[in-house]
Amino acid sequence: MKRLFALLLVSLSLLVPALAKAGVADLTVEAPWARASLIAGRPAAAYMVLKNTGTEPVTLTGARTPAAAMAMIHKTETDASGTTSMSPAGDLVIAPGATLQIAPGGIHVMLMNLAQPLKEGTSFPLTLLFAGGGTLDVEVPVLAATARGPGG
Amino acid sequence: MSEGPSRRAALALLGGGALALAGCKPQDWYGTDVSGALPDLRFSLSRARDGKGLTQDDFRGQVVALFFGYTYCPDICPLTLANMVALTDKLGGDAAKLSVLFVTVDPDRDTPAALSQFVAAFTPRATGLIGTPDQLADVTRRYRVTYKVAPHAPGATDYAVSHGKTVYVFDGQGKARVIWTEFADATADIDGAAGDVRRIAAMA
Repeated sequence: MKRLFALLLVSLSLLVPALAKAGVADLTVEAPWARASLIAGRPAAAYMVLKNTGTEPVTLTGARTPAAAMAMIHKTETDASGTTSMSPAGDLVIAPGATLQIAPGGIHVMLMNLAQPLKEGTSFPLTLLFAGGGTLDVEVPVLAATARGPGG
Repeated sequence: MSEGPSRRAALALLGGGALALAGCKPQDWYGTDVSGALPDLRFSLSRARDGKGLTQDDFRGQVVALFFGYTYCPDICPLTLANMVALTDKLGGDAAKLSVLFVTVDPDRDTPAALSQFVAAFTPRATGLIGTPDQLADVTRRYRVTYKVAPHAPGATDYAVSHGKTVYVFDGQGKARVIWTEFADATADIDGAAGDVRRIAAMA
């Protein structure tokens, strides 16, 4: 029993630095929101602002949510001709002191194959995934279809 | 850098005149002035709501804001339409002078019912339009709108689409007046766009 406890302590002490290395403890999330679904079967997008208040860079690698079968960090890009397209954003490094704007027209958390349409006035849990195994849970409020930002 | 002093001197000399000009800048649009540079409004497309065939003639006397997108677009297209709502709110009573036309570049997935529902969720000033491949090719070629629909199997719902995000604004006679290249942005200047609409409405 004593040995088991010791083993547990050792595992915990190994675990804590691993989390600290992921830097997630020093990450703050502000103004999360998603636009209400307009039509069933269409993908949705979630937005927020991530701030790294720590001294180590953190790397956002993905997301998951029970609200959608697939969640991916996507980037909307516009070329010189004004043509806009979306593609996976890849790993996003947030430097110490830096802010990552996940906002319309830039980066968004793309939610595909929604379990059900997102309804205005509800919210859903979203877990952000970071390099090193860190995770961050965010509750995302669903705003009106006509919202232009976190304030509506 | 070496031009600095002489440039400053020139500016100082011009200062008075430049300020006087700035006071009444008649060319000061929010959008990019395209008068005479883009063709008049002309299209033949079907209204998503009821399948009725519409042309430019159905919008005579209206300021028309025309743009392109698709309903599986989760980011740019709803943001552009949300900005259109903010614009009509800003215009108040003058919103009746504006018609927003949203043309789908993805008619394979955008059924008339879906497109109608998508557009109606934003503003009654907006009309969803669907074309046959030829009709869509005509209108996009006319305004050099680029779009690309990834190859997909019939009935597929998961494929990529890219499209031009510019909004084309026409006067009541169908003359192209300005294009809004930044209107699909979260920071779109709604006041500026409202100024353009009011000014174009006054021209027609």
